[in-house]
Amino acid sequence: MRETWVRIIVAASGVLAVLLALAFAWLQNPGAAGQRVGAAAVEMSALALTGRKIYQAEGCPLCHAIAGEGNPRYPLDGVGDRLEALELRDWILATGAVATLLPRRAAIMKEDYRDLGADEIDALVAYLSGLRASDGGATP
Amino acid sequence: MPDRAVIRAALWIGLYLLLVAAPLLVLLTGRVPAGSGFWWDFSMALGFAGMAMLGVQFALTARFRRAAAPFGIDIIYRFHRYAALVALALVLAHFLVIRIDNVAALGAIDPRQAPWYMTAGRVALVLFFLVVVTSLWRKPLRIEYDRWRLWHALAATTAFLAAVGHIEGVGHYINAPWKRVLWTAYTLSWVGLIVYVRLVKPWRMLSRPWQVTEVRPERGNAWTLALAPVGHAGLRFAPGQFGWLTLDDSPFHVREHPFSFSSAADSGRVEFTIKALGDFTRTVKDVQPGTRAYLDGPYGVFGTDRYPDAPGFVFIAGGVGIAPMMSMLRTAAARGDHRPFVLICGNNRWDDVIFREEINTLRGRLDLKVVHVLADPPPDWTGEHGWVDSALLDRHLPVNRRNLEYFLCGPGPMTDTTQRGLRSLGVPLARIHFELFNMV
Repeated sequence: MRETWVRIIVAASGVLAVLLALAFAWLQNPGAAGQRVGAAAVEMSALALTGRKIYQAEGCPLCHAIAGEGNPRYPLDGVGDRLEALELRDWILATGAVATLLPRRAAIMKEDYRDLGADEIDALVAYLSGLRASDGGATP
Repeated sequence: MPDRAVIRAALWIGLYLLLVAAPLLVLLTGRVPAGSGFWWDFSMALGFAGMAMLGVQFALTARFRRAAAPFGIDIIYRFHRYAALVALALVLAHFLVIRIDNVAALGAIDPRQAPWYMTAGRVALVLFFLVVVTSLWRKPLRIEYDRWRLWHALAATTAFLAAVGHIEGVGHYINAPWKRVLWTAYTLSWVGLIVYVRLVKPWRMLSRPWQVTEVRPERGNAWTLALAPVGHAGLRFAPGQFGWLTLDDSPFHVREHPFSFSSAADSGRVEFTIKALGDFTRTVKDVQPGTRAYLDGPYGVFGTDRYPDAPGFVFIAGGVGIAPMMSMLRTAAARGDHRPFVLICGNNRWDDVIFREEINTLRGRLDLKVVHVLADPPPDWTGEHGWVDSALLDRHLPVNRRNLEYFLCGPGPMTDTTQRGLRSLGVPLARIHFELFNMV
């Protein structure tokens, strides 16, 4: 009998945890359960295609999402509409005014990208500049 | 269970649920970061909930007498075992939801490319998984008990710290400074428990050493180990309780094993009767008088003292399961308890019946009916043989059987059969007591 009670209480704890997690997700995302921005097929230059490869290889999706792929905290959809090439460079490398805007943790991570070659940064900027809201990515 | 104990039990269970839910409730208060998609946030919440359950796991095995008292510490360990499965399921689900919904966000697996906090999360997940697997299947995997205990403590702590690092490194929900402080304090307090259990407690035990005074051979390949306190007053236990025994080793080495006291409770004697069954118990016969010992106890709610109003008791023991029954019978005899006792004693062979002679003597000092049941009886045996099933119980239990308190101690299959037998005779579950010693 005691063991049955143990099973019941443990199962109840598990159910409580899942319910709280569901409540949390639901409260955080009212009416938008599971919605995500669709990826649109866009013509890309060779440089932008290289930039996309670098974006993947450098692990950018750990912190950023494009068309729903990657960490949804900091989506980059439509970033090409919002930022100029020079600004994008600053955001990638945490240089200029951006250095003070970024949380310290993020700035430290981005400083690593200063080891990338100039052509690689150019490719990244080309890729990000091409991310337009009109391409299907929603502006946050 | 008395009413006050029920209330206390309910309070402890409420506290457990609160501790599991607390981190999620804290996350939801104050300034909460904007939602990042239903599945993403669901996954993160599952991770936090899993961590909360894993944290409480450290408290469950810290042997807090006050918390264990209403339930019995064996059941707390059982709880620890089941809760581990649920917690592992939660953290696995945390990972799998992201793996399915948004694999890109996980980044590279290669630790040389992945950020340290993602590697920490992966290490934690794998370690938690291994900790559970090695605990559920320790015997089939042939892991020695002492090694397993050391590995279990080290791996679980490492996994937990890695998971704390993972959360700190990702650091999204705990962005507000006060949330960070709260979360860090909450998680590290569980690790503090490990320090208490593995360092503070053994250190305190060092100042309360014991000495083996006698190693008496018993029937059935069992030995009785008598201990005496060295430079302190010893301990008082209730009949039926048990203690964790460390023999000829430092209490820091976590090579302790739980055994029931077999001596009378109020006699001042501290004795364990141990059958050579496993790696450690096989060495008991070679222990020399004078050997240093350490004792953590007493623990357990298995005992007649918890039922002062019971009209009588039935003890059903298999093999060395007689040890706690002997403690209860010896105590009852010494106290001049006039209530009726029934002892059903299951063994393989007549020669294996531990305390056979003393049980016979106790009949003269107590209102005690003894029924020996043998699995392998000699040819001239006229007593009971086979299983302790409902038919056998029906033959020997008195008419007021529903009002008696039943104590079961023996191998798992025997306890199961006996429990079913008693239920079929109408004995309420609340009157059937047993401890689940086979923990891992």
